[in-house]
Amino acid sequence: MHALNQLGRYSNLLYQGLRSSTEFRTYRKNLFQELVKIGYDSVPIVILVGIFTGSVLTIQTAYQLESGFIPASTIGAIVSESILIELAAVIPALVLAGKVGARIATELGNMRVTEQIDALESMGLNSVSFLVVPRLIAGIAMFPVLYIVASVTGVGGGLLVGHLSGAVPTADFLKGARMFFSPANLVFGFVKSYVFGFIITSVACFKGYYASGGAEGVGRSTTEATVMACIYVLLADFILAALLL
Amino acid sequence: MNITNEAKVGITVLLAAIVAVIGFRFMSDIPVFRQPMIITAEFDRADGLSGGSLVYIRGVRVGSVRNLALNQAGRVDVYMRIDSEIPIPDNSVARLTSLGLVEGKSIVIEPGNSERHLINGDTVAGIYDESVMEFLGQKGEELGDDVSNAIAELNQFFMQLNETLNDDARVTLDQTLQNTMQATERISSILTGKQQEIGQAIEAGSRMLSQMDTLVTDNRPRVDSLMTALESGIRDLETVRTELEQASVNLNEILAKINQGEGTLGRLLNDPSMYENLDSLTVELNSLIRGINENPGRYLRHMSIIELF
Repeated sequence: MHALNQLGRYSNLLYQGLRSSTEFRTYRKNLFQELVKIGYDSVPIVILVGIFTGSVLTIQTAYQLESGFIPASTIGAIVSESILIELAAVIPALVLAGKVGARIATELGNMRVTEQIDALESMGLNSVSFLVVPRLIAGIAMFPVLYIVASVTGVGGGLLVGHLSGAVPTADFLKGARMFFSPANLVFGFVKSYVFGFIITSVACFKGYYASGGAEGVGRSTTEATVMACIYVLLADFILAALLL
Repeated sequence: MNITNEAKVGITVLLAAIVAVIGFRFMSDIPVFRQPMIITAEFDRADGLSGGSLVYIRGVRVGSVRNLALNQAGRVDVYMRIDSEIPIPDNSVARLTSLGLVEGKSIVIEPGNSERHLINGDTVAGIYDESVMEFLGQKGEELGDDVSNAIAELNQFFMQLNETLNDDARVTLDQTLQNTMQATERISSILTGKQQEIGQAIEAGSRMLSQMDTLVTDNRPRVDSLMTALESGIRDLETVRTELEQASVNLNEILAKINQGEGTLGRLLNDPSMYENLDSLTVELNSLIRGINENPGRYLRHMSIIELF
């Protein structure tokens, strides 16, 4: 019953957001602020995540395929394909579920428990349009950008570490990566990143917007937002893989 | 410096877009800042080839396969991106082959000798090479039969060999070997016994050679003069030969003249009239003598015996 109740409130919030998404003047300023916070400010950590994902994957794949019969180019193929299809979308999403999701949930939760949202409403401002819509749009807009960053740094990191560690010569890595590279995989990665951006921001907004119970309640909703966002990201990843591949 | 939020967003999105385009072209094996040339090759079949397979010329990678498609003729059109700026002759042949046992298929372009070069959109002929694995797969069964037959025959051969080499044969072989060994030993002992004689023979031969040498050395002046005399003799012979040649030339000329009927001798030989005259004379004489025999009085009428004597 509680779950259905939650789903209904969540749907209602999204519906209100969709309906008020035309009120661009209300959230314009907030939108760019959120784009910077979600996109621009997340680029360093996504670069870091990408490089480490790629390098660890290269070293471990090379370790696992350490047999004379498998050409070194296979490692490049496995690493670049894994990164483009899965890791460049999912791992930054999990990291950003903590970074972005927690921030959004805390902000909105705090505004809720200190009755700022009520104050906005009493001033006649659409609080969903003012607070939720810019965050959702920013999430959907910026996650694909971060996916690009993670893909490039991930494959680049794999290439670099393969070269530095001597596990995979650069030419072999590129040969394998190019041989199995297909634009369809990129489309798949982009779809994932859109979906993940939407899930993380919407779940965080929902948990923060409906926070209750003072400071403790804000902490609880932040935790829930992060955890639920991670779970839904993994779930959506599975569903998308089942549907699209 | 205070950058507005809009600018930050703009920078992020722009950079990401640029990186995405460059990365895409890089991964697709398209030159980042240049349009590649698209060449089509037509194959009967293209098993094992896929978009992204590499294209080589003489072992150097020059591009990759963009995509494959069946054409109207039921053959396979393979579209290749060629990055190389080196011109490729337009009668080149694309060969679909596998470079190694485990590697995937690749296209190898064998350059032709034409003066004209391929341009964007051109088509080249394609040849499909069967890979080793496919060949083995097809020929596997026959090969297996052959191998098992061969092994069976080999087995039989060895069994026969074993039978042939029964105890008797072995004994015979053994004896043969022993005999051979004894013979060798005997030859060896003979050689040992006759060593001195052989040595003497060789010494004698050597002495003889040295004596001949001294003989030649001692008589060198005489031999020399002999040689000189022989040489002058040969020179004289040479002069004689020249004269003889001259004489024979002259004789030839004379004979030629005679043949042509020039001169007295020539007429004598070649002109039949003298013979004919002589012949008719003989006939006349014959008839005269017959006349005298038959009727001497006719001729002797005007001669008296007195007068005659």
